[in-house]
Amino acid sequence: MKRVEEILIHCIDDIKAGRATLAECLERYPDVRAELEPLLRVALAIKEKPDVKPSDAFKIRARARLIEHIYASQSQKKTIVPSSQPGIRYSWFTGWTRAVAITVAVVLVVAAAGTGTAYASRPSLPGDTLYSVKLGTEQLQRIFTFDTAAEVELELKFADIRLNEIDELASMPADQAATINSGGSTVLAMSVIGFMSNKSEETYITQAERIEQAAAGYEKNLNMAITKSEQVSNNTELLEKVALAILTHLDRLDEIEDKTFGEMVQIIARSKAVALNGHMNAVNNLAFVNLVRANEINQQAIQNRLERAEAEAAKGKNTEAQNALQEMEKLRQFGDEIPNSNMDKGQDSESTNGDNGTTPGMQHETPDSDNGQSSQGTTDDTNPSDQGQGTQNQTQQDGQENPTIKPPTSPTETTPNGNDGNTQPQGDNSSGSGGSSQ
Amino acid sequence: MQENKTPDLSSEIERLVDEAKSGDGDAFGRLYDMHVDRVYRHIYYRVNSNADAEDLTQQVFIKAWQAIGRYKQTASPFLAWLIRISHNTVIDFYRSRKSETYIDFDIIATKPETDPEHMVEAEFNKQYMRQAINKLKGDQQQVILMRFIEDFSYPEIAAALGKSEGAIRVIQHRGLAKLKTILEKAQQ
Repeated sequence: MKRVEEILIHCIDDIKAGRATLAECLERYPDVRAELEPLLRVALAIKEKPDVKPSDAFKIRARARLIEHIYASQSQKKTIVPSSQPGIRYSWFTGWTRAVAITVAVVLVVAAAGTGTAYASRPSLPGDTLYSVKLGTEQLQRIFTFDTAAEVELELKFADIRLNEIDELASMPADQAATINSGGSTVLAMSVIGFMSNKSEETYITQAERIEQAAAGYEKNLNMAITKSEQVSNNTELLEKVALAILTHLDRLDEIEDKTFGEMVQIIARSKAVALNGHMNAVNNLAFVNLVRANEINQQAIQNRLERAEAEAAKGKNTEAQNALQEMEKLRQFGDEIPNSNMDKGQDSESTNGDNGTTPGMQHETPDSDNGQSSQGTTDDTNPSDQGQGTQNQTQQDGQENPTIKPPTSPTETTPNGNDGNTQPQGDNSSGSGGSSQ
Repeated sequence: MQENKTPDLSSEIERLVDEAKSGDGDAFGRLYDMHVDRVYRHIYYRVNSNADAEDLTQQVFIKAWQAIGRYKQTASPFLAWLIRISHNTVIDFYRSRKSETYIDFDIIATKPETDPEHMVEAEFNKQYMRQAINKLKGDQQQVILMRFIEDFSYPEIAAALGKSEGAIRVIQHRGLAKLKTILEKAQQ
């Protein structure tokens, strides 16, 4: 006689296959009917196959992360000995590894296009092969963000990511931070047009160069955030958010500055100058709609600079302390100008509704290009083979005046380390790994 | 089981697994494409949350990649192996959420009182049955899910769990009996 376990299985199979009904099965095995029936009923009740499927967006996104994880884990296994000779080429990144990278690039771009999610939190850093893909996903997030306020928040988020990258790079030992630049932009472009090349394009990239890329990206993200925030000049909450975010940026840049040395110090000083100018622009924009809050935030910034000066002085870092004091003085003078500039702009706004006229002593040099760029530029960038083209043009327009935000004219115009804040970054931000596509 | 429906598909999976084991990430990506729906569905059934299911599905494939070198094709189908990883991942997930109830039977408790026999005859509410199955422990749950939800054959389940087919039959029998008890108890 069959054991009840086997009878159960036969009955389930027969009933599911339509070869028997429940009653027929029970009739076949009267001796075990009492035990069999409730079990069969339970088993047959588990007929529900959950009609759930993961979304295509998730599948693509998860696949991209998986492939990136695979690629990253494999890359880590390879030992790369940095050369002291810039431009030395390495040949490991050929064949299937390149093919994987290209596939990853395509997938990541599609993933971002399909989801618009915050894919920019990826771990890759400037100089990494996948960094251009990271920037590509950010660019596509811009394309799929249609609300100006959301665009501002997106740029602030990207600026935070750039700061994280700078921080991470600055925290690495120099030999570890140096890496092989595999021409990420090229990889991304090739992936889109379906072109695969076996030519190795890797070059040695230093820690400072990688930080430079991230810093240039940060400056552009910040500029875009501020420029776009002016398009929603009645959104008090958003304007305040921008101003507060920059306060945080300045603190973070202070921390990063403490970790840097050599040419990296200059880069961070430049980014700080941009952040400082960004702060003044943001506060000025806020002053339009909430003068009190704008003054409070500026006062906070002044206080922060003072504390920074005291802290650096306590550590015996006189140069840094002096720089902080200069920044504080600049903010103090700016604070004196806020009411006036606000009144000027207020009069403008009364006569020309929505006119974001330039504040005296404070200019955005790219209102035309940026305003156009927000839509036109990103449209151009829908072809990732042109990745960074829009911002590349912007960089060219910026010319020698990048960062785009000019500080107010004041007697204390000089910024730390003699950098006036308007110095064009040494690196070409429109090339390399796509740092310009911020 | 899906991946064994056609020899071509089965051999394609075997080939991809071989390539993945030799370090081909692209091959593993294609394995992902072929199995992600099933893995997700299995996990979703267990956690009943889209966000958690997505997160855990990602974890499963990353774990699978990390362990692919230890996978033996002759032992069990690749999907069964993934389901096994999924099962363990879900267990870890619940362990990490110690404060949370593994299964919320409040929903069941609020259902109208019915005769247990009639209850079984009735069409089971999806939520209702899922919660009951999730109340099963260990192998019982895994066997019930793999057999009735994932449609694995008994030999495949046996291979995946490293047990004999006879043992799987016994586990299934006990699992169904326990399920019946759980459902009845939930009605009390």
